[in-house]
Amino acid sequence: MPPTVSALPAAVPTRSRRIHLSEERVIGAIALAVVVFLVGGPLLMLVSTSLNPSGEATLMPAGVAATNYLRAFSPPDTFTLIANTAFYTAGSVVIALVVGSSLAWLTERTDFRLRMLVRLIVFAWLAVPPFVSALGWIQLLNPGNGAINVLLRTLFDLPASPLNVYSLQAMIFVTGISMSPTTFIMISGVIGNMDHRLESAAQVHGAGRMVAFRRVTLPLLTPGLLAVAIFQAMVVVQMFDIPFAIGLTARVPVMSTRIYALATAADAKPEYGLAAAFGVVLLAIAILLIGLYLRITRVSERFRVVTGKGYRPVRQKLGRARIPATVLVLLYFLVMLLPLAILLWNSLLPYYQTPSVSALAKLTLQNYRHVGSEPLITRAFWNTIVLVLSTATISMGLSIVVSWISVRSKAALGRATTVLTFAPIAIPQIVFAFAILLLYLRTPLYGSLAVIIVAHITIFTAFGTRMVSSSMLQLHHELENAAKVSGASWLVTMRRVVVPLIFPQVLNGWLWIATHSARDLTVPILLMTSSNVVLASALWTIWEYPNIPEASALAVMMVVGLMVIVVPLQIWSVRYADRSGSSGKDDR
Amino acid sequence: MLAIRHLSKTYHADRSLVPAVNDVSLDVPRGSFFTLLGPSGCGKTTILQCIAGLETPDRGEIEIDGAPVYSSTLNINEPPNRRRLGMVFQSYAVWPHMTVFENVAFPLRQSRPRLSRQEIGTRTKAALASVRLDGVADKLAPFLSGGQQQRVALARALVHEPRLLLLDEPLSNLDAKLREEMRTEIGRLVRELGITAVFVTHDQIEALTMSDSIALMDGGRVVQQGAPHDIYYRPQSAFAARFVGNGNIIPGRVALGPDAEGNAEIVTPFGRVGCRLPTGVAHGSNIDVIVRPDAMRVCNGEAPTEETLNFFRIQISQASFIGDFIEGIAHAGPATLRVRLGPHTAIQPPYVAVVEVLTDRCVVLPRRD
Ligand SMILES: Nc1ncnc2c1ncn2[C@@H]1O[C@H](COP(=O)(O)OP(=O)(O)O)[C@@H](O)[C@H]1O
Ligand SMILES: [Mg+2]
Repeated sequence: MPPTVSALPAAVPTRSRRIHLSEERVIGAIALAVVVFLVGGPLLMLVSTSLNPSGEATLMPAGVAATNYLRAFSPPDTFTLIANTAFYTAGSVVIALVVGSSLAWLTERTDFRLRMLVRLIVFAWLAVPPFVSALGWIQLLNPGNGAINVLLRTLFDLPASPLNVYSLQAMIFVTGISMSPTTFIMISGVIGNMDHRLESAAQVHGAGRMVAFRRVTLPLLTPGLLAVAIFQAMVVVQMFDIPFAIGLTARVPVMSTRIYALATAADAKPEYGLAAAFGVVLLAIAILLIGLYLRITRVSERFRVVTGKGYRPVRQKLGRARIPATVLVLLYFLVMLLPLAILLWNSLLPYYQTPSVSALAKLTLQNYRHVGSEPLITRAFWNTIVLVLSTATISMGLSIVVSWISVRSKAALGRATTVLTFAPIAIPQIVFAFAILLLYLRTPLYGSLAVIIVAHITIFTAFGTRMVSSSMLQLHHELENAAKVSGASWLVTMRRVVVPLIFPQVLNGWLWIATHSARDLTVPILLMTSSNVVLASALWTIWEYPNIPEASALAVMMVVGLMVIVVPLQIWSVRYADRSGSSGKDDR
Repeated sequence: MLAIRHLSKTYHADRSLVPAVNDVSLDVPRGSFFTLLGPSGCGKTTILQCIAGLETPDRGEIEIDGAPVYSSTLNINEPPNRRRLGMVFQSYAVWPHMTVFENVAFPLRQSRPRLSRQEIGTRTKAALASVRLDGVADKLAPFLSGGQQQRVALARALVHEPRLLLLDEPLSNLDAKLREEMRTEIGRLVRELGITAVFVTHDQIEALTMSDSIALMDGGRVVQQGAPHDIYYRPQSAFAARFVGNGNIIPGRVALGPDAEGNAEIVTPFGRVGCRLPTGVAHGSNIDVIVRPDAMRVCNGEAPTEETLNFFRIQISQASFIGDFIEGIAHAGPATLRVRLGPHTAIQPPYVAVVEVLTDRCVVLPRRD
């Protein structure tokens, strides 16, 4: 080593190093600490409460005992609960899969003309909160004066209502239908990713169309379809709002509503220990399902052959099947539209009424005026604005920093970060909301809007991180290195280069979180007090009151408001993807 | 200007260790055009990234302008944004969401103390003019051709008058014609500005034409360092001879001599070669003779006998007409050689000729077994 090197004073450069690294490290460390606290705190609380023999919410259980678990699973109640949950999950997934894959096949692989209509329904459906569609179905199918029941009774002169919304079957139907759009999107992806030349190859080599489908196409699609089925099963197991809206009256409890009932017992002391035990079990089921899902997707990745660009499979001619296909799709359209239509109808009437020509004379906007002037709703509206803006913004901020760490940092830290932030995807929202309730129960935060914001940030950061990190992975690292060498600090590099380059995904993530935060009922209902009401919980309160016309008006306003965000977003993101192509992406 | 001492860097990849740079020491004088030449994967990019501060070495010292920017002993590691360097990346790394002007102005906007808008404007325009991009300042980067993007990258790397310009295979993504144009352009700009440049390439032509000095690398080490003609005419290893100049390596033994002037006779698989030995090679030792492809001259008719020293009968089994020359595979006895013949040699394989090996174009290396 030359003497010049060792003779130089070390003080200045050493200090400059410390200052610089602190920017990236400090922000990263804060973000990580926040995530660890947000995710880890409630889970710890949940587990320790479930083990606490006294059934109190606690971080430090007096002893460790399986009392709560034993009580949770003592017959005869347990059997019904497990059977209900299993039937509910399986049934809903089957409906969603049958509807979703038929639509996907029609739009992806045949010359079906109404393709755009299907896509439109599917994307617009993102704006409909599941419990709103449940409220619509209740108005259509309730045994007393549900519109469809009344219609069937008069048409066929029946003595009693033929359909009952308050049943396990109806709950399955409503859930399956409301999940069909996401299922359609996922299955379209599976079909689109398949290499259709494999099919053509089978036909060239002498297989008939049916044989090619059975021997080549189906086996190729199976892992992907299975993965979708398992993913959706996970969603249904976690589903809270439809079972809440329908199942409570129907007396068909499932795991998620049981947790709610135990945690919020109206007349008795809440059974936190018992609810926590159920929560842990539900969590275990969800983790099992996501493990299975990851396993299958890894298998199906192996099957996947990347399709050459510009290769489009020949669309099957529908021929005579066109008419039944069109009828079925229009019927589907009708089924999707009906619950919204009845909500709209009732929102325009002074009191609940089944649709009729005579009622047309009574149409009025007074419900909308009332809703607009009600103090509860005004408060809920502003709370929702604060909730949505702060949740989406803070979650995306966290997502960006955390994605950065998980994508760019070395081995162990990156992997740990990835697992940590993805964990909430596997955790049922009702369990999370309940765990958060336990954690903040005795703090001033409880009952405030802040606790809902904290819960939403915890839940939605996982989704934001997923979107951001997958787009960061595609960013060529030389793009950010060029900024660093040009003299930009870490913050400037993030602000001027990294974030602008992934801006479409960041915006998409922001809007996704904003929409889901606005339409979520699970967290607000479980953490609801008089001061932290948001639109979703306000809607439920009015519905329960019951003031069905005003509830309908509020539901319609929510759907329209969400649609204004969702639909242009979908159009824009499709256009943007077309326009910007793959510029700035790693093309190796 | 740039001094590197005992630099080492090992990557940890999936439970295996990749020693990318192994105890490398280099000195780059001020104002020189210095090239790191070597096959892909030999650690050139890693060295460049260590200089820029984008990778942290395991050990060693890096000193720019007399001050250490990295030192494992002194525990110094200046971040890249404090090193005041310019860098051109292999993928150009032109930011697609900014205009050409914004791309080039970026380094100026980062300098502290802040520069005035006006100064940023004039200096950016000057940099754009120097790479002849004045016309496209307001275009978005993705709308430029590959050559234009390369110029943007170059202007961006030079606009803030960096202490050192680092270039990582900047020409490898261009087509042949543009590559030649950019080669001269980069050379011109660097010389005009008098800036010190470290250039990375795996292409011997780029290295030989552009550099003042070349460090030849293999497997994470520098195997030879010197001016282009040194590397070319005086390779110190079989690797150097093969990588620069495509030398044929013929094993042999000193059979006669060397005499006072170093001339000796060497037995090779295809005959006896009279050649000058480097000092220190003794009678009877095993050596390698490096025969350049252009070191053979076809002597039709005028051939003395094949028994004469340095004249051999060869058979050409494949010949490809390249344009400026003919490249062929020749067999002489059991040896196979790559040869390069004048474009006007009329040959049709299988073609038999007597050739003279021009021994002033050959190099003898002591064999290290
Ligand atoms: N980030 C990295 N992680 C693991 N190994 C790497 C990484 N970057 C480079 N390497 C390995 O280090 C060696 C040297 O790489 P590099 O410096 O890029 O070579 P060159 O630029 O000369 O082609 C190669 O074997 C390469 O595979
Ligand atoms: Mg390289």
